[in-house]
Amino acid sequence: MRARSIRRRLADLAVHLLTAASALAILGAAGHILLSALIEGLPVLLRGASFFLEPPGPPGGDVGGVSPSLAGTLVTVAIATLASTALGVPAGVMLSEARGSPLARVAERAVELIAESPSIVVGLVVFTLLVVPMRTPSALAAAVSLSVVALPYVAAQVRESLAAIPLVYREAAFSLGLPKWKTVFLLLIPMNARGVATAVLLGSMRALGETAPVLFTAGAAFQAFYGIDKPSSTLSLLVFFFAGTPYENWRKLAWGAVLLLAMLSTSLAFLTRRLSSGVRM
Amino acid sequence: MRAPAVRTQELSVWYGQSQALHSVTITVPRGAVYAVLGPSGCGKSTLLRAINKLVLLREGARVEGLVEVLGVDIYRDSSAEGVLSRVSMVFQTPNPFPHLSIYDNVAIGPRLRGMAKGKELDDLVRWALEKAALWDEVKDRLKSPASSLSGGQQQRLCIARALATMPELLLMDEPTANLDPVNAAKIEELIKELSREVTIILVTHDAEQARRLASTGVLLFMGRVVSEGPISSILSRSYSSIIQSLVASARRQQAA
Repeated sequence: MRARSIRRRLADLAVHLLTAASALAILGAAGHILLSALIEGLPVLLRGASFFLEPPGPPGGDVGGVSPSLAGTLVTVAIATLASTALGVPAGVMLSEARGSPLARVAERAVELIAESPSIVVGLVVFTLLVVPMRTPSALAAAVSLSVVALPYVAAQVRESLAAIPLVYREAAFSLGLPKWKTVFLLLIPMNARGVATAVLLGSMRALGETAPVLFTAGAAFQAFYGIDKPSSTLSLLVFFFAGTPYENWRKLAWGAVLLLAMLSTSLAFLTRRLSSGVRM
Repeated sequence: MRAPAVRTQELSVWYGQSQALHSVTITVPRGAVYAVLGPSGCGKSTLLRAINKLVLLREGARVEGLVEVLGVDIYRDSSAEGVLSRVSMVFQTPNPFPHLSIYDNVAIGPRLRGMAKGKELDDLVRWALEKAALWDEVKDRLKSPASSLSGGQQQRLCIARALATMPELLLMDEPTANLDPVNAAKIEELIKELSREVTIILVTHDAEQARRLASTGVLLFMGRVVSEGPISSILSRSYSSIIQSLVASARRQQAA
């Protein structure tokens, strides 16, 4: 009896130690990434306005700034967020409200297919369909590929937001005798507006952090932002190209861009958490 | 001749493999309170939700047979949407929309239907709240969240929400079941008052309440019609074991 009790306690202790070690390992890895970004990137960010307003310096010269890539990031993420919202919200509504219908089943498979595809494949498809006919990479092509990558996240989150509305409220909404589309778009979606806003933020977070889809579509215009139909660049693309160069000033810029991206992502993640924790049905 | 408010013929409803209603045939006359009586789980709420198609919101629900509402076959006729806009419902648990104010809970139906706006909408909201005997209690805080009201007030708000769309048929699913006796009595008074203007189908497992409020009705047991007709006749004939259990259960609730 006593031996069994000791064995149980030992097993309990072992599981506790294992879970604590796993948690520490994850925290350690995340902490290392953030700390590295902070140590290496903060001095670059603290250079002040020049980091945000100037283009990168020449190889081996002044550090300069990331303004063209920052502008490219803001423009592509804004367009991608708009496009993924415009397509993702109705798609999520259909996945939730027309559940089981042939069209919804096809849409569900399509959304799953996009979500499971490597994002570089999405970039290649957009390259073939948009960059080749336009004969140039552009901020627009980058935004399209980012919106395709973000779309499944928006659609899935909208579907979950609608599914989270309890049946009692759903019945009350439909009992008003309105057409179904009015009931869904004008009553159910506003009822869980925070959930839908969370979906939009999740989509923009996804667009902000992606590099692979813009590799073939954005171009590599790090010196200036020329417009949405011209070659462009993004912060993640700048990190990808500059971090591997032998030039000290470009590697510093890459670290600064890493920290800026981390700060933007963390802000969006914080906002998303605030919104989703406020959802009370 | 005017069609009855509701007519069902051989109505059967399934939830997946489980059959909730078995060939239910009833006729609800216009301009009265029609009670749907029966013990818990006998299919009363399912019958009510088959009349406004809410039953289809449930996963795996399937409906067979005829349901005619105000003369329209709502499961086959293309004009069903129009006729269902003349039907409203009040539920067992008060369910005002949590994201809307007291005013907006009442205004949302007429507003989204384009029935009224501006001053006209304000007047309609006031009329519905007065009908639901709630106006005096909320007139100074119409912009407050509906969740700030008590349970009884929330239920009367839901009645006002249902009335604001000017229904010809009002479905009420045990509207007093979750209320204390004082609030339950207020709702009963309201039902009597409303029955002069609108046809009401009242689901209840309380035989005494059915006797007080309804003139005709149907008694269901295990998804089947036991009897349909005048309430006095349903409650006086010897479907004794079922009726006695209904009456006893209602008395037990009152005593508690």
